Amino acid sequence: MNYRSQLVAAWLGIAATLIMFIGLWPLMHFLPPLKPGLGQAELAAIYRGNATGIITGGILQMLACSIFMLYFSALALQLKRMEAAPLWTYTLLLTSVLGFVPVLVAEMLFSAAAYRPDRPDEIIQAFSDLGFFLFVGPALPGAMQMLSVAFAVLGDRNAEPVFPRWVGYFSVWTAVLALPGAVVTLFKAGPFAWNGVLAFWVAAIAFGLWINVTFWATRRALLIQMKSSAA
Amino acid sequence: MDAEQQGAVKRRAGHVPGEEGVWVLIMGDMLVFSIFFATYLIYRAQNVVLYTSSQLSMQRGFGLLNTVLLLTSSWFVALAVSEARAGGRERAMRLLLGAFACGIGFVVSKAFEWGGKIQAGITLNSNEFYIFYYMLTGIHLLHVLIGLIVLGYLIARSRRPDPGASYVLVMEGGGAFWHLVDLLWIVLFALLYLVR
Amino acid sequence: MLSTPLRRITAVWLLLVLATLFSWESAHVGNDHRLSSSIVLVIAFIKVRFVGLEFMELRHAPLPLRLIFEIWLLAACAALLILYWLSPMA
Repeated sequence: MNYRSQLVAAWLGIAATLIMFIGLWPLMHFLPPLKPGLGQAELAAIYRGNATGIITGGILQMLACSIFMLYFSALALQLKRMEAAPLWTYTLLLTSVLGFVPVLVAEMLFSAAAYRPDRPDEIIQAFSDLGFFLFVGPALPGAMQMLSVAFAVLGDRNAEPVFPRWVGYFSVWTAVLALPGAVVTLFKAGPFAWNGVLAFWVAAIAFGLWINVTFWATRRALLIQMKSSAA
Repeated sequence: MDAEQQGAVKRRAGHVPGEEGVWVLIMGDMLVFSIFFATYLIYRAQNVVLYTSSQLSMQRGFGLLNTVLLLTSSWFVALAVSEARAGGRERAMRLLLGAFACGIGFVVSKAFEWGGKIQAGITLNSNEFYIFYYMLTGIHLLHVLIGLIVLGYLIARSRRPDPGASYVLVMEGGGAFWHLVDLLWIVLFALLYLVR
Repeated sequence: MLSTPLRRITAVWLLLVLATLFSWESAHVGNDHRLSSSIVLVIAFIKVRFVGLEFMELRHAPLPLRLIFEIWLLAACAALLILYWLSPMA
């Protein structure tokens, strides 16, 4: 049994989160995300001024997205133990892809905005808008990921539950917290805009908490599995 | 010891209504909404004039109706849980239907309230106050809809001749979620409609 | 056998409805919005307490759960009141 590999995969989820953070803040300076209300000229100046940072940060983000897939596979293997047929397992895998592909594309768009400094301001703004839509907007696939874990955990009929039940309820809660991200296309300012306290910050913190909690649960489950297979 | 006495003993020792995990959800949701409420007041502080003048369009009658509907629905649910505990699942089912009807009433009333505003040209992005108004009542409405699904499940379960060993716990947990919906509206009503 | 819970639950419901009507009325009158709004907020949280303790039956819950609820109640009410008072007058 490749428990050790799965454990490494779980740890890589934490690594991916860190890589994402490094890409986003020190490199791209997109933490907080750029204001939707910024004037075209000001916005274009940001992309021209930090082109290398944005592009490099974009590459790191894409790396993080790829590594995340390994993490979610490890998580899915735990979900598989909870269900008779892997309904939520498959849903987790599919929504992980569904949720992270937009992030990958967003990074390409941010890079495109920074790629040619002599591009007209409006085109830079269009790329940037689309980038932020794709980066913050896919709250629904994200919430679905969390709900997959929730339903699998709450439906676990094993004598020894794979994850503690509270992880299921916690995942429902983080899914609710993540949802405001879905409406960013409606707003240019305020708490529900892509840089807003509710659509971005609370949702991002919820995602971070959820990764940490599912990591803790996965690691715990793997350690138990390793111990009982060694016994 | 009969069911009533057993229930009384459990309650004296400290009984978690429903299942422990449900309370992670409920307390978590209360925390989330507290963040929403605080965010509202913070934004409001930057532009009090806008908010108080916009609030003049708030129809308190609707707010009052909605509050009374939810309070009454919680009354039905609380009685239903009590009946379930005493073994009266058929009466519980009928009480739950009453709660469900109140919930539907809330949704219908909300449709009229929003509809009236939208026809008057007051929409989601009309100004910052209305962003909060539509978003907060909308997110709450989502909770009401989920609550109606929960009530529907409880009704279906109550109709079964043998509702199962976990029946009372499920009623308690589902009931607690519905009371949460009521509880959140109480504060929302005060903040959006009354506090100026 | 049902009369005690029925009476208690109904009494709580009546109290809540009356408190709602009182808030609704008191928010109308008076020029000092600050005071009436504060009263409205406090009444709202008192109502919330009743819903939690009586309807959600937290009164009979283990102490930790009840405490979390009561602490949240106090903290949220205080936070909202403070935020309200810190904002400029209309």
